[in-house]
Amino acid sequence: MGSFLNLDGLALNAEQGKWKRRAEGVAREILRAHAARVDQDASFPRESIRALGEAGILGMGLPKEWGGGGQNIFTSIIVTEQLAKACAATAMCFHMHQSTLPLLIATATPEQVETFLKPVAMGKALGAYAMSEPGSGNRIWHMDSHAEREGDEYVIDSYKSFCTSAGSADFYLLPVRSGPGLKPNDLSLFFVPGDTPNIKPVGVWDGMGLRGNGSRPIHFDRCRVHKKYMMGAEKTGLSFMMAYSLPIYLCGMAACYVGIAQAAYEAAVDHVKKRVHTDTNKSLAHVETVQRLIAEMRVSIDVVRSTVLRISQMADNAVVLFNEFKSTDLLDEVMRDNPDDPFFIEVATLKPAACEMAIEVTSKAMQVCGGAAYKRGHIVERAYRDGRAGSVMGPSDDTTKIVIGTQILGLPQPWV
Amino acid sequence: MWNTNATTTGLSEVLQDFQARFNDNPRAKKLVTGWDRSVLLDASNTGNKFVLAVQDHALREVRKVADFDEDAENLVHLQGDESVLTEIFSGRYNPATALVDGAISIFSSDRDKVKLEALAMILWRLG
Ligand SMILES: Cc1cc2nc3c(=O)[nH]c(=O)nc-3n(C[C@H](O)[C@H](O)[C@H](O)COP(=O)(O)OP(=O)(O)OC[C@H]3O[C@@H](n4cnc5c(N)ncnc54)[C@H](O)[C@@H]3O)c2cc1C
Repeated sequence: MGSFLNLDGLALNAEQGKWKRRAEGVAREILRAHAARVDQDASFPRESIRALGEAGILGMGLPKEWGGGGQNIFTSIIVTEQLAKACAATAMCFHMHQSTLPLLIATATPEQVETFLKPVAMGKALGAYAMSEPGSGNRIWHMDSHAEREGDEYVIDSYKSFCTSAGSADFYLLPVRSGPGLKPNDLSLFFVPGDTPNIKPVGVWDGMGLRGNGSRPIHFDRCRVHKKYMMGAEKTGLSFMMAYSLPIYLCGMAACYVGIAQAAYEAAVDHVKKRVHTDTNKSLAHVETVQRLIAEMRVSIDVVRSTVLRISQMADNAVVLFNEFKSTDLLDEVMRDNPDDPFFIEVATLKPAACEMAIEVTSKAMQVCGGAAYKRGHIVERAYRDGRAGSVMGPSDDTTKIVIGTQILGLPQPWV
Repeated sequence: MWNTNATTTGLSEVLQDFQARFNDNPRAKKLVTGWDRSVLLDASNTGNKFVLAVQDHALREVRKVADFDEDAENLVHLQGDESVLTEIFSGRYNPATALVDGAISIFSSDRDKVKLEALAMILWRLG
């Protein structure tokens, strides 16, 4: 059905369409070409990330006045999905980068924009979001590590257990406790340039999937950063993360897994049409069980995809509301008083919905492709491994469901 | 804090109570700093109209009016059945939900709609 009447209700505007086509082009020409090698060698997707920078995609979420693309969460989600279809590892590196951006916009002073954010807007820098710690694992609102003020500097001592793009990022956004004696959720946020002394990536990343991510641990081993690298005020970090990072993080994570599922589904459709049995002289597409499984995959993807698009539009509206509270200096107290706002629950539902869908769809894709897809190097085989990560990534789907259930039942959230 | 006798109390009394509650809420007052507006409540089924005057970071006045220039500057126009407006201003019905339910219409700039949404969160959700 043509989209002239916008019958699906989700027609993109001209600018969003331009970003989508741009992402499709880079995905087709660069990401897809490198994806198999990145997976096989577990090598960081340098060429693909460079291409995203050159296409303006790395800076698309930052304001046009800074040299960025001025795009919102919805457009970023459309782009992320396209990238994930071609190379999930690159898409995840991009996604962790884009998750840092709304918070940087919300907290940056004019001096910070001039001195270190303009290069990010111009696509010259890749960011990483280093949250997870060994002590709290997937419960990424709790930090044990801290920063201590010494004169005009902060000394950061923080071991992060997983960090996508560790060792390859040009900057790290780092939440840590604001001081040694403070509560685990009294956080401060630092923009730590990648060339700061004493940033120590640990070991090599050898994941089951998302093998190009470089998601190894990283130790900020008494790193000294000038106070101008703190984003926002001391102790307000968790509120700003909830308002500005969580929505794009959960929407973008879901978009990655929609893209992974789509890649597996499309490869499966292609395979079953081409694979012909000699005894029947018919392709697998004629087998009813295969038809049903293909239909089930499509239904699952479509349901989640339209929910992701709807909630990412909602997330863009929520950002406008959070800006209103920020501009009246009420954001921190409103976020602290409102941990179970229905918006957070709505956006949280995307995580298990998309990640479980990706597991289901990639598994069915493997089923219909049979032994061909079980072999190393098949697109479905890679998607099956890549698609498994989302469910355990923080907050784990299980934790997310507990958070949702707790809200519905009117019980306090674990970070309060 | 909310007037729980809303069903037996008219919109006028509910609005007096709302004014006191608004002005007792430091967050609401902070939120309307520099936002001087006339909020026209237009009960479409009864023809009753009330104006809430927000000025100098407070809800200064609530008055019943016979008519009001709907094109006046700095006007936020809120329309709905009187029973719905009574439910809203007695605290039982969050106006953000009422808008989604199609129970009220708001005619204002986008900027003012965001302010109303923020006020709804402060007054109706967080109390
Ligand atoms: C590919 C990949 C990339 C990543 N990239 C980043 C990154 O860029 N930045 C970053 O900060 N982190 C990153 N992470 C880390 C991720 O976000 C999680 O923090 C991490 O996967 C948690 O692993 P863990 O072994 O510590 O889990 P644990 O916290 O030990 O949890 C293990 C399991 O226990 C159960 N469980 C634990 N707590 C609860 C609970 N409260 N309720 C219900 N069930 C519970 C769940 O089943 C959970 O899956 C990445 C992880 C992966 C796999």
